[in-house]
Amino acid sequence: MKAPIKIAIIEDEKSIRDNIVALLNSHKGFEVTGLFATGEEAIDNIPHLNPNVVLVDINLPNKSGIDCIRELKPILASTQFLVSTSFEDTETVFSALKAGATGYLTKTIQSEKLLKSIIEVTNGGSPMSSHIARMVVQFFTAVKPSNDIEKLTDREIEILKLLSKGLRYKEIADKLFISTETVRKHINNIYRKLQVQSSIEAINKVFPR
Amino acid sequence: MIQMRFYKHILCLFATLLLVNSSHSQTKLIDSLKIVISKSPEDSSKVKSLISLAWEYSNNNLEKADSLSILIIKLCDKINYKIGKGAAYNTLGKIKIFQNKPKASIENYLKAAAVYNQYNNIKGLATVYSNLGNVYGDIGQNEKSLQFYYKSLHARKQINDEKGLGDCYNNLGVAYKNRGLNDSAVYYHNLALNIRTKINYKGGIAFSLINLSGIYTDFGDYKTGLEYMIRAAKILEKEGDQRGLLMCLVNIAESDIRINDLKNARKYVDQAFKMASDGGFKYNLTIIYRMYASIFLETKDYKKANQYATKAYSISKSINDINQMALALSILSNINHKQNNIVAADTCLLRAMKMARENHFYSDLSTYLIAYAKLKIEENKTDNILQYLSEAESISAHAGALVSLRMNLYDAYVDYFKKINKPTEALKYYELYASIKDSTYNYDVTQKIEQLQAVYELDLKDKKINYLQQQAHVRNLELNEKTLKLQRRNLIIAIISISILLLIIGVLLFTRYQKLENNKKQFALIKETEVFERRRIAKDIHDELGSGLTKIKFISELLQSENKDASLNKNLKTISETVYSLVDNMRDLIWALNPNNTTLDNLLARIREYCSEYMEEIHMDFVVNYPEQVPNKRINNQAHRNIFLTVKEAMQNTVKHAHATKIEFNVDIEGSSLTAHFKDNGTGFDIHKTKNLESNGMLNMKHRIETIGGTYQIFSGSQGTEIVFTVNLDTIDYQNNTLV
Repeated sequence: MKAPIKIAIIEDEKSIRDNIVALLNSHKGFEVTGLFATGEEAIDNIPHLNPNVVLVDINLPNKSGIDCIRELKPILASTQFLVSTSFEDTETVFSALKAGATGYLTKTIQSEKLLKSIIEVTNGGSPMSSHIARMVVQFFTAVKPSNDIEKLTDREIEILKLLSKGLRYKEIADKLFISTETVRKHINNIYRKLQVQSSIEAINKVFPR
Repeated sequence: MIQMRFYKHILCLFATLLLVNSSHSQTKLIDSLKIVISKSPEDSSKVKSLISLAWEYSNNNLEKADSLSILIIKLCDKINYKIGKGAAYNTLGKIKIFQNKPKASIENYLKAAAVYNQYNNIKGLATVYSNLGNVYGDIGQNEKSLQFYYKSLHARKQINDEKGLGDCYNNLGVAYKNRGLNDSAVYYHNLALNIRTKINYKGGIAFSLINLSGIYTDFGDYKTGLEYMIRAAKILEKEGDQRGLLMCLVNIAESDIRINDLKNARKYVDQAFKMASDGGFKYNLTIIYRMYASIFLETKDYKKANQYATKAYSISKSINDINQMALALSILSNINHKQNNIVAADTCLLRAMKMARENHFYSDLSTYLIAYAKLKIEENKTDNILQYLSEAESISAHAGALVSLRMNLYDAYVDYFKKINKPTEALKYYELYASIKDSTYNYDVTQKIEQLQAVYELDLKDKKINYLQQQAHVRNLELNEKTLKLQRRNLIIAIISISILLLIIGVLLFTRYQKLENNKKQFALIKETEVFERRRIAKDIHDELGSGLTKIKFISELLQSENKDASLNKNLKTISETVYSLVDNMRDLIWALNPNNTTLDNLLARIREYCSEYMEEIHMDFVVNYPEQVPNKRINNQAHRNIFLTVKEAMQNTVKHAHATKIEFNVDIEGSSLTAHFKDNGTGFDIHKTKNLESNGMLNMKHRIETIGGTYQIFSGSQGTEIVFTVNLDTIDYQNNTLV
């Protein structure tokens, strides 16, 4: 049998936390290994747990979910961070992605969808809406990366453009004669570059060139 | 060497010349000012009169001037007259100079500058900066002095004040000369000369010529110096400026002594003496007596030289001019030295040194130090010489040095090292001495100066030609006087009426422009507020509603799992479904509230994304056909929302009722018209028979499209249903926004 997906949850609202735990525990293949009500607690403990997926609420008291991701992602490279928020597609979600999250979901999502999203993200699939795609394009046009490693490839830009026109992964795959898996890989790379370039941006803001 | 200082005194003299009237007319002026002041109320005009009064007092009663200025400042504070306060500080600054308190003067000038700066009074600023430059120059801070002159220059350029510009260039020339940079000094004096010639400011032209003469004399080009000085003298004579002419004569005489033309020197000094004694100019007499002493010293008539030098000393003592006293002592020392009265020579020079040191005449002090060192070298008392010379060197480096002074210093070093038998050191200083001339007058600058002089000469020629032409014109005028007069009158009337017309048009245009600008500003402000409010609303919805809805969803799900009652469960399920669709709608609302999102291409992308995702889950085919290029055009919120909801409604209707397997959504844009077709391959329905809920949905769609000025049609048959709507893109532009 496949090992269960280890999940840590950062959520300050008790009822929501309990419900997610109940939902995950009632399904096979998921194991909740950590529950945290504040960002500080999570930062102290999650590195020892080494979970596969962390569900992060953005609006936390004191340290925000984005700060948590920014601190934890560099330590836990193979852990996927999923941001949970009331409504997807906001600037806040984009900030979380810049900090190192690879996916996002709404808290009011149907239970099956939540489980599906967790499985998808552990299999290396990252969702990206047309709105986020547009924000990514804007971000890379505005910052103009100096390094080839951080630059988007032509293919990646093409995919982002199609995404921003509202095309689904499958439609893009058909259009570019590649597999959906390849599209996902490209999206993963884009997320990674977004995070690298964002951290460089952050450093440059503190120590201007 | 000592006589070199005459040039410096000319500067002071010219400054005071502008201010000092005869004491008689001054008293009269003060009296009339007092009358004006006693009659006027406490307002700005009173302040102006009071400042004039303080000015007059500054010529004869410094204490009164001082206390009056402080009163003026208080009055200005009382009536809140800021510019007047600036002027009062400026006056106080000048008074402090007369009181020999440079630090206090600088303080007051800086206060004046701060006031003028705050109220953007450029003219006042230019004057104060120039005054600050003068004070810093006086206390030997040449860098600071230059800085302020440049500031003043900048201000004058801003207000296009040509006379002020001329003065500024002149000040810069003087400052550079004090720093020993003669090439730059010549450059700026020539600029001053050109501008003053252009505006025909005679006194200023003479002043510039005198300054140029001083520089050439300073580095030993007596001939050129004399030429400039004689030109200046001619102008001043024509202008009837007695004091100015007097100083010129003295300087010409001094240069004549330098080139050993004693006959000419005597002639000029005699002329100067006559003028000075006729006019009762005591200050000038001290200098003239010293000139006589120098001439007699050269002719070795020591008795007469001694007589004149003593006279110079006693007159300067009677008018309490310490500087002149010191200078007289130094020439007395020279005379005694020539007669081998070593002790007397020493004493005189030591006294001069003491005076110069106590009164901060640094440049003079270094001259005396060098002279003293040379005296001691001749007496073979070489013990403390290096001490004197290095003091002279450090003072002159600090205060900035005339070229001649530096040359004199190195010369003394050479003498000293020769005397103590150190030829290497002597040679080193000799080389320094020799290099000064070359370094002060490099090739580039010479060329620049020559160009400037050419411009100046050309200007003079132009003036001459102009003058001749004008004379011819006058003759013509006389011939055609009557007709011309008539023509001129007509011309004047025409010009005046055109100017009035232009003025009226200008005023009208300006008011209109201002009105438009105001409207624009208001519009921008409204837009800005709107954007801000939208962001705030979006955030509130997000923070407040979001967590509430989440809780409702979880609680209803929890209840469903714990409860076995079927009918309650059905209700609970409805609750969760309502929450899902609420969240869905909220998400779109928040999305549309961000003004960056409400563009046409974003709307179409969002529709495509939303529908594809929806269809993917229920495994229905969804085909989208958009134009190749969708314009990135901002549309208003209402249109954005209504179009999106219409397509959503159409899709949900189809999924629920049509039993279709395929949906097609086509958009065409032609010009400013957008047409959308929403087509399914379902069973269709009879539009007219449908009454209940579904028809409500259809009415909704129709209403939504018509609200934003579009047309809506629905066709249905056995082949399926097609909804067609058309909107005008100009009508739904974001500028025509009606807030949602």
